[in-house]
Amino acid sequence: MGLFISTLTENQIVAGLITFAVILVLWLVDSFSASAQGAMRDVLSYLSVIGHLDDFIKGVIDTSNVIFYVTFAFVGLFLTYRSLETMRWKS
Amino acid sequence: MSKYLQKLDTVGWPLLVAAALYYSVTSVWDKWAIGMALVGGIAIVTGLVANYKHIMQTLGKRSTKYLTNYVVSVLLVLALVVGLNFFGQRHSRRFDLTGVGRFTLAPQTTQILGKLNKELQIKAFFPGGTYPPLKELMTEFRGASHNVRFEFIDPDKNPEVAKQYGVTEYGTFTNPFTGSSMKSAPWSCCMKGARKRSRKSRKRSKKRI
Repeated sequence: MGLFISTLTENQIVAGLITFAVILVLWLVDSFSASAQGAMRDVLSYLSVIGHLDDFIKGVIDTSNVIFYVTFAFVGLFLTYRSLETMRWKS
Repeated sequence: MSKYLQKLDTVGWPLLVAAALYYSVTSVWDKWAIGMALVGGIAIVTGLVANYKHIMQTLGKRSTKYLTNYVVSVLLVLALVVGLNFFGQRHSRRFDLTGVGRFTLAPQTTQILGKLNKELQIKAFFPGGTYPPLKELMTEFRGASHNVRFEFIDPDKNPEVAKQYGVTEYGTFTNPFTGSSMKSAPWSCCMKGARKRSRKSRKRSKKRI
């Protein structure tokens, strides 16, 4: 995700700050889910990056957690690739 | 006249957003919400028709084609990722790598859960609306059977639900078979690791005697 944000701005500090904010939101999303209701609660708790780590810490490999992390990294890399390509045709 | 018509779509969008916000607050499609949505929709359509020539010119541009390609590819990938995660969540497999099988259900428990032919609704009343050890067990239950539904309820935040099930103490569960509440349940016996550990501790205590 940090790579993608770095492609959006030329300033490293701005990129660092935005990345920090995004990671903070992904970290706290589990807490927000406690106050949500119904399907929104399930979606928010699923988006929690930390929540998917619990099983690995316990010594349990859950395929859904593996899929989450792999697809999360893939989305970040894909957005980075598209963003770099956009730069090429804009210039 | 056409100059004003061309600007109608900019008025239409805020009206549509206002209608959606109004509906999200009231949860009712009353005359105001429907009126705003209708006027907004008509204004957008009229604006688009008035801007038809300009829109067609913009669509012919190279940059627009690139942008469309970009947006469509991102949306497709996101849809694919969401679908993959949904499927992965529904059909997940868990591999317990702990030595004693601490997070593996006992064969008897798996057998019982596998035979479930109707939904099993478990409500657990805990302070703060969560209890990690039980949540782990319920996750294992749900992995063994899709008919298991569990919900943690904070009795302080939802006193009416607690009252409905006659809950007077923290750590109370609803009995999924009778619908009544019960104070404790022998959850630990459902785990393979817990059985091994209890057997080991029994042997140790016998040796001491």
